[in-house]
Amino acid sequence: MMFSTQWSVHEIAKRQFLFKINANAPIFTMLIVLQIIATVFMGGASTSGYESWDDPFSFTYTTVSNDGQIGLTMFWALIVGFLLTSAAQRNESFAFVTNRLTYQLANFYFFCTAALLGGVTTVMLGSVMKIITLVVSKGVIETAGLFSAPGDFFAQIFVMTAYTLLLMLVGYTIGIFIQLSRLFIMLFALIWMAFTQFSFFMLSADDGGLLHFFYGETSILLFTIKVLVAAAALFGISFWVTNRLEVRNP
Amino acid sequence: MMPAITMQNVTKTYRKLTILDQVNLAIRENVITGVVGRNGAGKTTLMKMISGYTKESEGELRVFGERPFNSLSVSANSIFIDDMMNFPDALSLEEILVECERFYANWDGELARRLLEYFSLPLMLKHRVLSKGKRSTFYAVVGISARCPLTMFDEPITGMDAAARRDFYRALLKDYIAHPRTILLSSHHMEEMEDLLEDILLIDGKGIGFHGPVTELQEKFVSLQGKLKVLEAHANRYAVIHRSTTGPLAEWIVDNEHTAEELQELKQAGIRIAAVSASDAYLAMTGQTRGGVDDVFDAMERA
Repeated sequence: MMFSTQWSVHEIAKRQFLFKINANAPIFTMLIVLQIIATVFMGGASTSGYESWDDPFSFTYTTVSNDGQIGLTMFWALIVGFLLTSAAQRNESFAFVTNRLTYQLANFYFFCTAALLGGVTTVMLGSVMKIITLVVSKGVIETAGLFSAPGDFFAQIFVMTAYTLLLMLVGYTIGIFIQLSRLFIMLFALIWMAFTQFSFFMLSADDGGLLHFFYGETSILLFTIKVLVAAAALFGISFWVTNRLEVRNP
Repeated sequence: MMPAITMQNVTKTYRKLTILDQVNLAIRENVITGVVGRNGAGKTTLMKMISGYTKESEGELRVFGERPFNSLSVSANSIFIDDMMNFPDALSLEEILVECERFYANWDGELARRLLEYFSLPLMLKHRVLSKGKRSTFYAVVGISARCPLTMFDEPITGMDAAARRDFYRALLKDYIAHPRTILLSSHHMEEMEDLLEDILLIDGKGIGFHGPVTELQEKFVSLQGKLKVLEAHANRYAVIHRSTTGPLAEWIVDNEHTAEELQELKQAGIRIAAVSASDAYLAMTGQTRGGVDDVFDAMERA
């Protein structure tokens, strides 16, 4: 009736998102630092080995991968998701104009942006690894690159972004439940123990485990649908909690 | 005119503790209301509920006709300032001002910068490194410059020195006159802000102790001044709310309930009848009689 200012949800969500990017610049710095650590200190998770059969046949080999960067980016994603549920984050957003819906949307936009950045940089680091290998081991690795196989290259970025986004949403959902009640820490710990007990996360489980549901998918279309459904479910569940959280209480 | 804020039987409980119980009130639009009450009375709880931070446990709360919890319109048209503003640690004062501009339609960046310059607050600093008084000053400047139709200050002067407090009240009043808005202002320093206030909202005992114009609060009490013996002889039928002695004269603050004859009798006995200040009236209403804690120590000595 007598409001002098009226904003749409979309407009405030957008402004909250821009604010979040400014206020959380250290999160992106953290990603870069983690990736440098992975590249420099973990050597990009390269392993060396020596195999010998009966003389005169023997060879040494080195595997080079960017698994280290991928692992740390995923770890970062989980932490970022968790971080954005902190009371401080909520208080910062509510110091300005927002309601719980625009707050959640802004967080989601932030995750999409951060995931894209994580996805792109991680895949690019794969190329960096090739250059390092070229210099150090004097060997040329022929794998999918931007020019030799652009489709593969962008698929890598897409899949990495999707995984990063999903992990952020998982961290966010877990974090927001813990904000609702500290008792959820116990529940999540129990779930974790149960899952690991039943080899739920075992990579060898190609019998339809939760992770296999995603990484075992060979169709990019089906994979996209699975990711979208999972992201929507996590968004919905976390919003159910966000929508009833009080700010600065007591 | 429609009130800016209305409450009907609003109750707020935290866990099992009732903080506000069945509150009914209507705050007038474009009026400066002082929210007063003792520590823990529920002033902050009330304002956080109005700003939509927390949800009322029971009853109906409306701000500009809308329920504030999860209302984007209420959030866009109100600002809540206190000494624990959660601006991001990563941003400098300058960057925080930019964010304010992004969110508040009536934001006056020019005023904010001029005020910060006047209060010698360097824009490149981070707000966490500021001293307590400077930080409060910065938050107060944000609160004034946002020009929100509903502006709430909860203990805005925490840590400010006397000059800064005076300047803050003056700046608030000047900007309010130029751009009228509904202001809620809570502070324990009633004597400093009573010139600024039009209405008083006194929270006492989980409810509203008094709500109305400042003059009405003052008129509830009267101060009787005279020699102690004279007061004891002539004014003993009144319930004395507060006694104090300065030099040869004693002052009693009593309820302002007396007939014209009684008044005449008191005057003839040589007792001076004076109005009380709003802060004395407030102290009297909340039982903050000076020296009350002495009784605790006296009792311990006797034991």
